[in-house]
Amino acid sequence: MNQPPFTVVLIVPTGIGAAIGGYAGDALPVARVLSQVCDRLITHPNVMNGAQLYWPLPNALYVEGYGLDQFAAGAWGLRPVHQNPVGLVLDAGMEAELRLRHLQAADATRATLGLSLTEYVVTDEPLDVRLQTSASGATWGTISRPDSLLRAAETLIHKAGARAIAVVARFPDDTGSEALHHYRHGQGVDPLAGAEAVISHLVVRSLRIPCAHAPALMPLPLEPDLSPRSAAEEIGYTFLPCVLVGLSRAPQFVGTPMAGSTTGPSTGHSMGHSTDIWASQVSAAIVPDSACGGSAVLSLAEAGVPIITVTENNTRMDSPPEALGIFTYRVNSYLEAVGVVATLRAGVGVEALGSALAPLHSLKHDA
Amino acid sequence: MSTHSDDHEGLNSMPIQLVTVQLVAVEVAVQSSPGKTRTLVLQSLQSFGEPLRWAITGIDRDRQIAHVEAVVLQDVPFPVERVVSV
Repeated sequence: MNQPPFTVVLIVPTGIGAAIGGYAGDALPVARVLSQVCDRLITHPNVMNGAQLYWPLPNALYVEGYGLDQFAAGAWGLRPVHQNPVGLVLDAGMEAELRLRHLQAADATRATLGLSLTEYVVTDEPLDVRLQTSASGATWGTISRPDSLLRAAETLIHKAGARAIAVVARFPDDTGSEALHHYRHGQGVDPLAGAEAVISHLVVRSLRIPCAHAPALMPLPLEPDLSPRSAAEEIGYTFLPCVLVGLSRAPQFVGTPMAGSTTGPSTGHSMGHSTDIWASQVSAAIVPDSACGGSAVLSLAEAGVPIITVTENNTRMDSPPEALGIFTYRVNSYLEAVGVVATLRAGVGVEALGSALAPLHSLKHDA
Repeated sequence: MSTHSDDHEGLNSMPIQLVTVQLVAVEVAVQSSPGKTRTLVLQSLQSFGEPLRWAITGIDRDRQIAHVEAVVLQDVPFPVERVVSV
């Protein structure tokens, strides 16, 4: 038995209203099960982060979305680590009480979980997060001072030795919008998610370091009819613990500095480690059926990686695989997707498990 | 950890390019393979800035057109008011 590790990529894009994984870390149960039927699971913060709740998976790699796109394109590799010192960036736009809540949450992860954190940095300007919803219904967002965010992250890297960056940005409070009402009832699109992704993407793209984000918000009034899928975000003062846990063991990115998107392992990384993971080692990827139009899925599909799409996980997107020329194993549920992964890993043809198995046909020779 | 804050005053001269973040929407023709479509999306977005996060949010099957939403980075003089358009 000398087979390569069976490596699965699980993607549930954030901010697109995914029925499973569009709320408060509610795709984490999927990741927990998948991690049992593969050797390595590569997934991203939206799947793993449940605010105060988290579940470390020994064989899971926590990869921020921009890094995941670069990995899938073959531009960056992933280097597993035992531990990252995590640096914390706090938005200067945060009130003193909120800042203290987050510092106490960070200290709690040091004392109770044994995480390694560096000193922290407050940005030299308020980041000024703006939330937006696009024509498709997806949420996006921007910050007015990306330069201030990057200066703070660079300070943590160069002055404090941080190997991963957790960002806490002050998000606009919302106590009564229709979008928030739907979100708290397990419907609609996470109004914060798109802006969160932009913040972490900016740091990962600019500094090539693991990064994840937690929004700082004032607590909401108690909601008696809160959806279980949204509940993890309403059991504490911060969303930070899951971010720090994920980043503490997030893989580092490897590749040639300033490599172009076409740079692959053969030309882009002269000092590779045997533990480095590249896109060419991915065995399968799982994505919502309606959301095949992201960079990572397009790259992996082009590379011939088997793609499993889940129709039950509805999203606001309308990018099904066949419209993009992607052949997939289309299943209804994640339960079935787990079965397909187990089947592929076992080296069994998926069609052999169905009742209808057509006889072989003769191919014609090329003229 | 919580008792000290690293002072990064004076680091404005650090070699960090000043950028703005902008939300844009484009349309591209669906190509014969997913990789070619991805390449065309990236090329189309380059005219607005460097793509930071993007997705094909919908596809017009009749016209074979992909609708793309993206957040791009744009280099600008400092300081500047951010412009947002979809």
